[in-house]
Amino acid sequence: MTDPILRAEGLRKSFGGLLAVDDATFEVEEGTIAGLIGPNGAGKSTTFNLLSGFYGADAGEVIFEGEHVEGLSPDERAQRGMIRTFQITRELTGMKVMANMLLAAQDHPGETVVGALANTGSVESREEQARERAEDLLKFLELWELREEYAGNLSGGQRKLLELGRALMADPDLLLLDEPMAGVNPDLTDRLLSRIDDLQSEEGMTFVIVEHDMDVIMSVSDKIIGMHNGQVLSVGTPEEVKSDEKMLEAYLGGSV
Amino acid sequence: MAVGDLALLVATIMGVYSLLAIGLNMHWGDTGLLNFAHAAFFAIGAYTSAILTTPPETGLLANRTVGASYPIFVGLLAGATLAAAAGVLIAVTSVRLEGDYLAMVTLSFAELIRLVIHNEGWLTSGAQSLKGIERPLEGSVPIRYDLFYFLLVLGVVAGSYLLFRRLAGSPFGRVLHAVREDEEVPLALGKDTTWFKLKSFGLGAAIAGLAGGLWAHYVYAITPNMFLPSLTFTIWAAVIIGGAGSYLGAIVGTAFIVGIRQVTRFVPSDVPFASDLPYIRLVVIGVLLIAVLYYRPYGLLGDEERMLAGSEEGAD
Repeated sequence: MTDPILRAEGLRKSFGGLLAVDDATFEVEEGTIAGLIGPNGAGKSTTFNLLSGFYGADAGEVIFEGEHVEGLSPDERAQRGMIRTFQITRELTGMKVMANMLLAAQDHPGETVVGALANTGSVESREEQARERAEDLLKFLELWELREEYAGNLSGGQRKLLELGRALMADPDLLLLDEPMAGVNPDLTDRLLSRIDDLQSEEGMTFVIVEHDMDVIMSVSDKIIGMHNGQVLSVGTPEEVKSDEKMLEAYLGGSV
Repeated sequence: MAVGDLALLVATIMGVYSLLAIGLNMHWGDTGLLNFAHAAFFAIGAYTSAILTTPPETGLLANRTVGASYPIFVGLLAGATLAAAAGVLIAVTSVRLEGDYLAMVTLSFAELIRLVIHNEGWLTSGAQSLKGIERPLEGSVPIRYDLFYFLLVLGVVAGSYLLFRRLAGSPFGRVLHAVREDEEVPLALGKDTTWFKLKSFGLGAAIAGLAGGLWAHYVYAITPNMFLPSLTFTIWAAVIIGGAGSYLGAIVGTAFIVGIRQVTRFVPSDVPFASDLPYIRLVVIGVLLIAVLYYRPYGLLGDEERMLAGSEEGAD
């Protein structure tokens, strides 16, 4: 285990009278896969939104790559290498699959007005580079044939894949995946998992994954963070969390 | 009026309004921003250019005490710039508002601008109308002036069309489209979406300001009544009929709307019901609008496939 790439310290968020995340503290080590689990309403998605900046925390800190990011906007956190996906797919329906992918290219000089109009060599070469990367990813995700299709015409599973591909296009250091396997056929799930494994072991990418399929999440994760009622209940290896009485009670509806 | 004069007049109006439609298409078609302040950007461009190129009034009824005699291209440039600044200003304060709320704020902003123009006579001549606006190169072109001006406007429309289409097809335009589809997605991918919306607002307002300048220097005299909200709605109708998202569609839609409006003005007065023509014209325009939108909800040149993507019909 190496240094933590991400540390959440005392995160708290309430909506009206509902305390959605209550003093959540955990770490994710660089180059590992962390599984975030918990029954419905445990606060997993809210935690994702707090980490990625879509919600402002009522209290607490988020430290990413050694720096405080809790005051930064979502786009600034993304630019630093923390990319998230959404639980309900947010494909850009009126844009083609390829455009969805290219959108995620970072530091694109063609995204300024002057760059767009001048269309200099650096703009073209960045675009070309992004296209090649998108081609690789789309072929891997079996979406290459659909590259000129509008994203709104994809099936639910294909949209999940597109969203994952788009996130990978951004070349993140840390990828927050909110239920990436939901609705994806089992054969492709296996391939996705092995791809995630490769990205972790070969490129040192770090993942935090919310997933309801226990077999999947336990087999792929180095570390499990178990949440219940907005609190971090249990942190440890998959074996440790699996045998943690508190988590069992949380899932089986016992009082905590 | 000879038919040729008439055709040139109508074509020039079409050209100026096409510029407005191009700007609005960047706001709505590309970025999904409900801008209802377009008439104000048009007015700011028109008045800025007129004031900068027309000296103050003299004589007993003199009202306007502010004016200058800069060259016309300076006026046009300043008009576009000031309109862009107004666009960015209103965007800074309200671009975080969603859909309908943005529409309300922009509409009231436009009315505010119009009322200021109406009431600040020292600057704008107010309701008396700002008269004697110079026409560029008048008397020194070898061809008929109306034809010259039409060609000038046509050139500006063609240039703007190419410019905006290039923007829409660039990586910059891709981010605008993503904002239109679902703003949180580009935000999650590291794009400063507020900044992109400001740019979109500024660019579309700039071209509307340029249109205002071209309008002022064509019609000699401008009054606040030329910049009513109904103008904004006309341009909206043009963009929707042409097909939101298509710049060629914006131009075709404008030609369509302006064409119906202007051409029906010149129906001879000895036809039956001639005295009711103004009302019949409105009825005809309404029916045509409904017909176009019924048979082509995505507009004349809009992208049907894109409009249906993700909807029930599109998903088969």
